[in-house]
Amino acid sequence: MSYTNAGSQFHLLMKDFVEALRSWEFWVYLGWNDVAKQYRRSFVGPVWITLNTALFIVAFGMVGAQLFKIAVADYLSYFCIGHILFGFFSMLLNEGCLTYVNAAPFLKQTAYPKTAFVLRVLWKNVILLGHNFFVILGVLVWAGKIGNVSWMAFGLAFIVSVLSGGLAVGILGALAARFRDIPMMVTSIMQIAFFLTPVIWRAEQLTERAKFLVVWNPLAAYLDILRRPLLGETASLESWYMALGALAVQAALFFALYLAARRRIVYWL
Amino acid sequence: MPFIELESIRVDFPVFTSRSRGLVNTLFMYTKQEQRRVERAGMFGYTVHALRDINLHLRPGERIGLVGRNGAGKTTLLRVMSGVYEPGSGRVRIEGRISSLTDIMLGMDSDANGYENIVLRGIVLGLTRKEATALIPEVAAFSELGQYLDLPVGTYSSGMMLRLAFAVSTAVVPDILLMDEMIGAGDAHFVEKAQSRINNMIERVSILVIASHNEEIIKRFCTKAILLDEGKIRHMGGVDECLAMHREERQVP
Repeated sequence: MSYTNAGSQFHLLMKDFVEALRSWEFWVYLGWNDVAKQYRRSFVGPVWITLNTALFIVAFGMVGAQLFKIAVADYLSYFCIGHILFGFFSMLLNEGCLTYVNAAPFLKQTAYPKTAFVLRVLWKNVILLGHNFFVILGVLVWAGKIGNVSWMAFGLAFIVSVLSGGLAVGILGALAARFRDIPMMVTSIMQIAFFLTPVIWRAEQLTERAKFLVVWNPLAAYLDILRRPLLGETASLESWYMALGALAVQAALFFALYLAARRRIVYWL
Repeated sequence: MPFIELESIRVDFPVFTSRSRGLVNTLFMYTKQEQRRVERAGMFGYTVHALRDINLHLRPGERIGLVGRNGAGKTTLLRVMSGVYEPGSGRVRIEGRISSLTDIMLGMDSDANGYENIVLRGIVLGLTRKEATALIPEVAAFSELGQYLDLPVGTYSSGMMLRLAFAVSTAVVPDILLMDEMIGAGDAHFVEKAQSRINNMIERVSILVIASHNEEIIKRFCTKAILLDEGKIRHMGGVDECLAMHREERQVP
């Protein structure tokens, strides 16, 4: 074990990554414990969230199918996937803001790699998504669409989404450690984004004038590349370009921010 | 060989007021001056010059006591030594496994039971899961919690909780031990046991740095002392010398 602050900020950031990966047991265990906490409080634990999600999806799915005059099986599977995946992103961004603020007692006592806490938040939310994924599978089986799923395309989209989610958590966590009003902003932005992103409605239902809502919305692109393969469709290339473009921008932002401010994060807590 | 090397360390602290805490309020303001320890930075914030010109080389076998008034920079210096605060300028080099025992309950979860907390606390101390699990028998025996370990630690009395935290935190001997005030644990019967365990730990670590306001503690455990004043090392030398200077300093405020 040795430590030094000598070296460029780039070198120190790389060291942070390597240390975070090396101490995987630390964030894997803490992330599990964050979920286990919910199990300990009640026997069904996070399954409550799953049940809750399932009930809401079925109820709204019925109404939505009527409203939009779409077959229940089609609408329900569309809405179910969109709602659960949007929920994943929304919770990830909201909790991402608290990454370092919540880790303050840890970071003030020992020189943990900063990015280990990003991975903790990411891991916890992936586990919770895993719970809700059973609802998606259930609905797809019920709707008779499970055979059409292209798992390869979904897997690829999922990897890109997790990368993007991780970068977002890192960016928001550092910014929100410095500016404490960011979590509130993110919460309200995500509430509005729920309605501006095709979760309840479909992109095809928009008029030409309103298409920008989907074209310039990275969340819509991520939903598209994840949802279509699950529904047995192929995501448009535009969505992939947008998603990968957003990923590149996030990566640039992340590096710029961490090269300048990684050292300072602890001072802000 | 464990060591700590600090070369011309300087640590400045941004202090944010509620106004500078908001993104909306802070746009382009950052100016800086020198000299005083607390300065205005920008319109709403302050900068505290927490540490200045710190040069230290700690070698194996050294037992250092940090003394100084409140706010002299003791905790900040400990945090530089543990790598928590990366200084604004200067060089830090540390070799060896460090343990800072400032908050011995760090990472414990009141909903988890005693066994789970031993593992959790062990992992937070930097062990692997396997190493942490291996601590269970020894910690269970030392803490004398017996069957209580099956219960969530939230149901423990504060004394029991402290016993568990203390037992795990002192189960592994690091190379470098950093402490902000002496840690102790619990009720009269346990105090002696805890005492001898911590003494034993202190004897076995290669380098000890302890900050304390308690002269007895410094005299008992340290062979050398550092007197901090306004973020600078005012004196480094014998324990009695430093304590005497510190006593003088306190009389003339």
